[in-house]
Amino acid sequence: MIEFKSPDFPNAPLIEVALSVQFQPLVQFSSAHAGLFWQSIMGDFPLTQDQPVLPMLNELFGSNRPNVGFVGMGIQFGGTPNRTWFSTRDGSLLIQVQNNRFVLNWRKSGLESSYPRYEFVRSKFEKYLALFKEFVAEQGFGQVTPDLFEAHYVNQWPLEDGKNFSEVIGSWLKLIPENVTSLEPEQASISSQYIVKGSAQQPVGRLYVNVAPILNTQGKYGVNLELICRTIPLDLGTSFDLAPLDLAREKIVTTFEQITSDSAHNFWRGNT
Amino acid sequence: MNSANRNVVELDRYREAKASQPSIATQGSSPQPNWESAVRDRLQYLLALPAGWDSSDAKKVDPWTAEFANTLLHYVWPVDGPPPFIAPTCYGGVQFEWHLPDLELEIEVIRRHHLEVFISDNDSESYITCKHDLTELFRAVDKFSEKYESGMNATSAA
Repeated sequence: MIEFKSPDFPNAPLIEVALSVQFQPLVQFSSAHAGLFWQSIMGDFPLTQDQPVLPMLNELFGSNRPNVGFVGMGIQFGGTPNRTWFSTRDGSLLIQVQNNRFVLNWRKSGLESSYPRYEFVRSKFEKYLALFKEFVAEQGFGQVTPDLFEAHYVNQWPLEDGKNFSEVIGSWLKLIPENVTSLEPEQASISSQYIVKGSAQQPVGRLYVNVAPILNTQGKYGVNLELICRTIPLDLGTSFDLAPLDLAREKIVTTFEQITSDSAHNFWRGNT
Repeated sequence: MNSANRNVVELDRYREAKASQPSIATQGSSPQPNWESAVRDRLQYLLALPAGWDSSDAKKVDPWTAEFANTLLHYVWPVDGPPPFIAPTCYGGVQFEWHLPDLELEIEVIRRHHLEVFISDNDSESYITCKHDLTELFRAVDKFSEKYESGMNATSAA
């Protein structure tokens, strides 16, 4: 694992971390196989749900013109593909499986629960991914060939009484300068993306930053800040070196620190 | 569902994404490529071909490769560029081809993130292998586009 000194924010507003690998589709994999796989993890993940399938992700690089956001065509192959959730009883850990994706989520499951740190989530991801790969091999589906890694961090913090959304993102985030017009700010959403480069300055990934207002599950209005980083495998073989995932996490954490203000850092360190 | 219909190309999400923001303005969105429907129809046709479509050992076109090929084309090819001829390959991939009198460009999509590109003119020819980084492919596309546009301009002037 890549050594990386993460900034320390004990009160960081992180509510969810998802680590994922997309792989070359297992054409024969169906919901029935997801059920069979469940048998190997049911002790830890006793709850299950069907979910709509996640679209195939493509990260391409080298364009000399702006990316205007083409949405690819979905392909339905041999019936409707499904995604299956397997959850721990308290909901804090979630495994998502479909014929081209394996995901492990950590979710804040209560006000008292705290983020167990990346190393913990990564170790769970690695452990259950190994079980999934074993299962795929046993079923005769061939090898799981990674195609893309993704780390996805969701941060949320509530609006303070008497403050509107723009005031909060103006003072806590550096993405929008304050007082850019003479008009009263009311609302803002920000989406931006950045290229992640490797040691030889070649593109190896893309980081997405999305900020938007949200009504959270406790019924409070707040700020939702999501950082998503997708990185390509070191090679296009069957190696499951998780270095690209570590790189994605490093870019997310670094960017989070860079786009948030000193006053936000102080608050999240408990220095207010 | 018969085998020819098992591979269904769904463009609904794409259309929904395009149509989800109706507006009274007419110029604020990106135009759809003028080759889009021709490419979609051709890919649908190729996806329905059975194994052995070449009267020999050819594989069926892999749907994930076809989807990737379509995404790739949207990423690299100009919206006002000429539509490609699209051929299936024996190994389940697809190949895009464009031919001008003195320049040809071929992009073989072997599988997702595995491309072989061939560009040839009167002076030179070159093969390029691409994975995620398409910088070299963009150079080839730019070269083709310049030649194509100069040919179109010459035709207009005549």
